[in-house]
Amino acid sequence: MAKTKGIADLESRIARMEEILSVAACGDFSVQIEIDIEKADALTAIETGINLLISDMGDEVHESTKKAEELEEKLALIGQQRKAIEELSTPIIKIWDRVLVLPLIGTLDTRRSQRLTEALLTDIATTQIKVAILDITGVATVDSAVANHLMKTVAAVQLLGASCVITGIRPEVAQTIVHLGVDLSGVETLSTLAEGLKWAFGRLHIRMVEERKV
Amino acid sequence: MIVVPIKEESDIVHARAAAKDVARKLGFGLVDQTRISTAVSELARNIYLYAGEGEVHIEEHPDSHRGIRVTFIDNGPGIDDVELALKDGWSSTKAMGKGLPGAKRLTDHMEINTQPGHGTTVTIEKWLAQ
Repeated sequence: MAKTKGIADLESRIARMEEILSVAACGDFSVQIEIDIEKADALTAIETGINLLISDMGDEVHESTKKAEELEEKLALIGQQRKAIEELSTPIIKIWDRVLVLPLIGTLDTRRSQRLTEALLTDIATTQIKVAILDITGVATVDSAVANHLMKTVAAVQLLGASCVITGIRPEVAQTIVHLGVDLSGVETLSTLAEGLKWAFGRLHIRMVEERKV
Repeated sequence: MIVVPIKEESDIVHARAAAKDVARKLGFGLVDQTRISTAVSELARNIYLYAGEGEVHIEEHPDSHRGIRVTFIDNGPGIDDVELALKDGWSSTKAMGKGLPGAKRLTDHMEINTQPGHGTTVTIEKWLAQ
């Protein structure tokens, strides 16, 4: 410790360094050690080093806070978009008097199918709907969970006294359902939405007649 | 190899979309792509439902069979009775009981390694017609 000779106010400066470092450790990076350049000595280099370290850390922390905020904004945006997609992708269309069509697109998870069943049942209960057509042309994968959701929806619709038919089962989906061993025989199914509409007309005793040219 | 972590229900969709994509690139037809993605959906859902989290590894089959291999790894409770779990309609919960037996029927090969309390690894393979 021979070099300590010639350093002014050694004890008070070390105390100040300790103080500044503990303030920085608490997360406040705005603090700096006062340096008198005129009276630079061996300790000044360390003080300058500490000041640089603190200001660099301040910049880094600021940068990462900004990034964290940006990330959170993006996550919030994804959440909003997901909601928007959910709403977009489960429209309930009144296609005819007493007939509803639900064109299902994408994936049916637990949440979506619950929302869908709820919306559908509310519609049926509050209006005079007699037939609901669930069109799954836009659903690429029907696994046992999706099949289960569909069957439950159909059962609930029937409990309300309306009829339900599932249309738009793609050939590859049909093959997969059979292999999977899911029994959809208790559910009315038809290949296309057009067939479904005809079926609905049949249920409602509506006859469509082509107008003859005179 | 593609690794898809399973943590949330939506990860099941990521896993099956990735598997379908790999299957398509390997030359599988639409019906087989659908079979593969449905089997992946069943088994990934098992991870989500019973183990909480795990991983799905999707890769090209390493040997001459040429095809796809998908491995489902979790550290969940394991399966007490594999034979029973492979029975149609049997479920430890109130599910349909189509997951394991269905996935087996949809693929060409299925292997289950499990130890109660030590997790489960299920491997499925679908081979391209030579």
